Amino acid sequence: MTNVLEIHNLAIQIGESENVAPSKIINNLELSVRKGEIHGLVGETGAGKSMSVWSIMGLLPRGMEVKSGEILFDGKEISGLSEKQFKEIRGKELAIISQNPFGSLNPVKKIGKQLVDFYRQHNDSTFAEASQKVLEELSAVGIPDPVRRFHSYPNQLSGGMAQRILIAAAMINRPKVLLADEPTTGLDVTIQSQILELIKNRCQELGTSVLFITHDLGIIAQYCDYVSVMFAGNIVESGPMKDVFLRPQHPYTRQLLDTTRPNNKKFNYKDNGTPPDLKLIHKGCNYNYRCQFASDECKTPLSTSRVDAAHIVRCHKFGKLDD
Amino acid sequence: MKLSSMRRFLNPLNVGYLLVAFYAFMAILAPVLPLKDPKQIYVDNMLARPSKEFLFGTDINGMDILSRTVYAARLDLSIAFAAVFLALILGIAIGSLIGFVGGFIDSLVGRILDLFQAYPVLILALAISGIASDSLLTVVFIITLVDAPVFIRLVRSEVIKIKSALFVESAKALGNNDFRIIFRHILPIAIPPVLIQIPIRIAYSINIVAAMAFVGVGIQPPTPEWGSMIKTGTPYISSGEWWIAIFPGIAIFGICLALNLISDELQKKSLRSRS
Amino acid sequence: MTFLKSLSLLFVRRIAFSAPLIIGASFLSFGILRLGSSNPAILVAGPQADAETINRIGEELGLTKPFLEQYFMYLQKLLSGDWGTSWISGLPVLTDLFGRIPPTLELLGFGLSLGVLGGVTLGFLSAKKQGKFLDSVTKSMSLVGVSMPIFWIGLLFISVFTFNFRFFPPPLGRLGLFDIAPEKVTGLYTIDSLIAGDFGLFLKSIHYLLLPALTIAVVSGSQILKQSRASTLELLNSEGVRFYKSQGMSTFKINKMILQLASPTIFTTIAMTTIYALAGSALVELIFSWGGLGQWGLSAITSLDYAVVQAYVLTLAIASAIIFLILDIFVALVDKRKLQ
Repeated sequence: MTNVLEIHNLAIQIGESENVAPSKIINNLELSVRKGEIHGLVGETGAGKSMSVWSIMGLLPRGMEVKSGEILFDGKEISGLSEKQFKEIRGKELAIISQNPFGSLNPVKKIGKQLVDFYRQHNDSTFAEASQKVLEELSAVGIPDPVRRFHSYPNQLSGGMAQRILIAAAMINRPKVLLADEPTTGLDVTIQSQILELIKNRCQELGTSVLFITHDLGIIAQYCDYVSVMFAGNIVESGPMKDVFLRPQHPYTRQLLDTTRPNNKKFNYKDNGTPPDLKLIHKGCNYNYRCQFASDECKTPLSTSRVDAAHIVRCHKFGKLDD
Repeated sequence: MKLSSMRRFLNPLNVGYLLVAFYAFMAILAPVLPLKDPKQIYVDNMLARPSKEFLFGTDINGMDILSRTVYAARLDLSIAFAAVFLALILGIAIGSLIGFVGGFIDSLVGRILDLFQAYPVLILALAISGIASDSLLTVVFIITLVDAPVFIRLVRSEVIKIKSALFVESAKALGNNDFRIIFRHILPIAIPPVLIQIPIRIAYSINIVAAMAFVGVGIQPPTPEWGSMIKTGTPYISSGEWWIAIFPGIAIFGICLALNLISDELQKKSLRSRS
Repeated sequence: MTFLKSLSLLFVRRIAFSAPLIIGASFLSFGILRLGSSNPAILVAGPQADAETINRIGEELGLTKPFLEQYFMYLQKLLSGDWGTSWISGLPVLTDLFGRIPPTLELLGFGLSLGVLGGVTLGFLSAKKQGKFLDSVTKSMSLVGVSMPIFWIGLLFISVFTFNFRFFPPPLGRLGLFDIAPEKVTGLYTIDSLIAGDFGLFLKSIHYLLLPALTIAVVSGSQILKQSRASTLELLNSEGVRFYKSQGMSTFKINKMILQLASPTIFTTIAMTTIYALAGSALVELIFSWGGLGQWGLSAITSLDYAVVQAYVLTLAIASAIIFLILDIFVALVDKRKLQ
């Protein structure tokens, strides 16, 4: 199974301005997405999930930049690409959808026209041909009466409908990888599951791999083949979803899983839950400061331990937690 | 003092404050500074170029431009500050009441305020000033009239935003009477955004005072005032005696620059604290 | 709804909004007169009028009648084209007015166009190149432009460019003392000389127009630059632009979108700047002896030619209303949603 996306040793830095010293918000990130898989990226707010994903697209906000590391897309290094080169793959091989479709789409342009523009940017076609493709895509994402929606403005749509449009926009050029930055946060629960089903089915249909960011473990459990758990800019555990959820090896993962079943805690870990101070990231384990099992050893640099064929964990106490 | 810490101190906001302080210093201390008498006529030195004796030169009447410029600061600045202060009071008083009471009066006042925004009020100020007397107080009142709508509008919109907030409801439920609610709960939050507008309004007001004098209404010569000095100097620009009109203008430029710097930085800070 | 239909609806809505403005201005100009003295007839007739003229004017103004009735008489006169007579020129105010509009139109048109063009372009560019040299330069420029009083800038320009460098002619008006104005078609010397085929005169009129127009351009352009830069910056960091970039859209298309989304705010700023410029240009006209509406109005204020003052106040209100109407049309063109 080839890796369609690989991130090695990624470090993202913030604050390269005159007054503030730069600090790393992402350090040593390792992530792999295999072809055709739906890979969930889970972690608490501020862990750096969004930043990592947007850095793949080369679209970090002003003030943040990739300090070191490599991002391989289909085997090719893309972290150092120029804007011009990036434009070739953005929207065509790599696409991203985010939480707020109304913020993403142009509010004063009709939806059909926008999607046609997206299509024609990467495909040589006439307006008529592109419109046809757009209508097909709108049907494929489950929009009833696509012709009417083609001529509508984004603000005339409901949240769920708008998110479908966003998915259509991302998928219309058949990308190899779809990055999804918490696309269902903020939607009604029933709509959420509709959208998630849509993403899963459409991507499986088209052979698109998905990197799906969420903080909701339930979504991971229902829709993802693989999961990576992120904490303070680092992947602490990664593997097939079932393996990780049934046999979590990292204290943080265990504690996360416990929170989903508060009355039936399996691991009973205490964690004070304070967010990490990213400016104090040091060589050792970032979870150190709130880990029950922390010892001096945990201040030394981490290495990746293999739990299984595809299941890895980064913890000094690997194998010793159940003693 | 270290060079780097001095550079950090001289950020735009501080430079603005320093400049304003400089102007205030000069204006307040003018009588005790080593300046010539602003109204004294130097018969032998009419239209003199800037020199060691007359640093800014003299005008056609033989009056020293430097001292007149400094003394004019007292007039222009005090009028502007007074007017903006009065306008602020009016704005808070009227704006908060109207905004709080709401209803028909509020919509009416709102519409009237909108009209004020849609008109070049400088012309109105000039027209009214043309008819009214030339006294200092009248000028202050006219400028207050120009500034007040801005503040009323601001306070009103802030109050309207706040009055529907939850904590006001709870204050009402606890039995607070209306005035108490306005003063203790609403105003503390409504006023700070309004205060940010003060520097820029002072700058506008100075401009209006000067423009009025320049056109020929309001303050008249020989009272030293920046606008009327520029007016006196206008005929001489084309013949090369530039110092009469240019120096007072530089004075206006300086204080307005300072106020704009302060205003810009305050706006940036308030945006940052909101996001 | 068809485009024309929705446009006319916009018209009607804007007229409904502007009506209070114009009525308010008419009331104000009516009231100004009564404020000035117990016998407004004296003010209207002028300081050189004799008792008979004063009485006649008093009759015309209906000074013996109740306040509201006087006001309605005034409105009636306005609508029928009787805007009074200027005691300085001796001519009906409306005649003078029509003669004074073209020079101001020419000056404002040219000056504001320069200001808008420069302001929007520089604002947009400096936002895109934030932090670089161009950005620092334009930020300082706009700060300076906003801080200088407009009448002083004009004098500064004259001192430097006319007196020192002799690039421009002395501020004597729209043309030199011995130049003959082109045959009147629009009243704008630039256009009229082109129509008459007199290219030399065209260049000359531009020569005289340039400095006062530049004065207006600097002040208005600085305000527009500030807003244009701020709006562009906000949009550059917006989710929408980020999404379009993620779809691989070309920089050209993204720039187009930024301008489209920034337009309503920028247009509104341009409208407000134009309104300020109505006052500012009057001061510029004074300095350059331009002979336009502003100089006419301001001279009337200082010499107490009240009929003219009233007309001036009213005309500015009508001009403001027209400016807002044009603003509405432009915003609707960019944001077609408003038409639905």
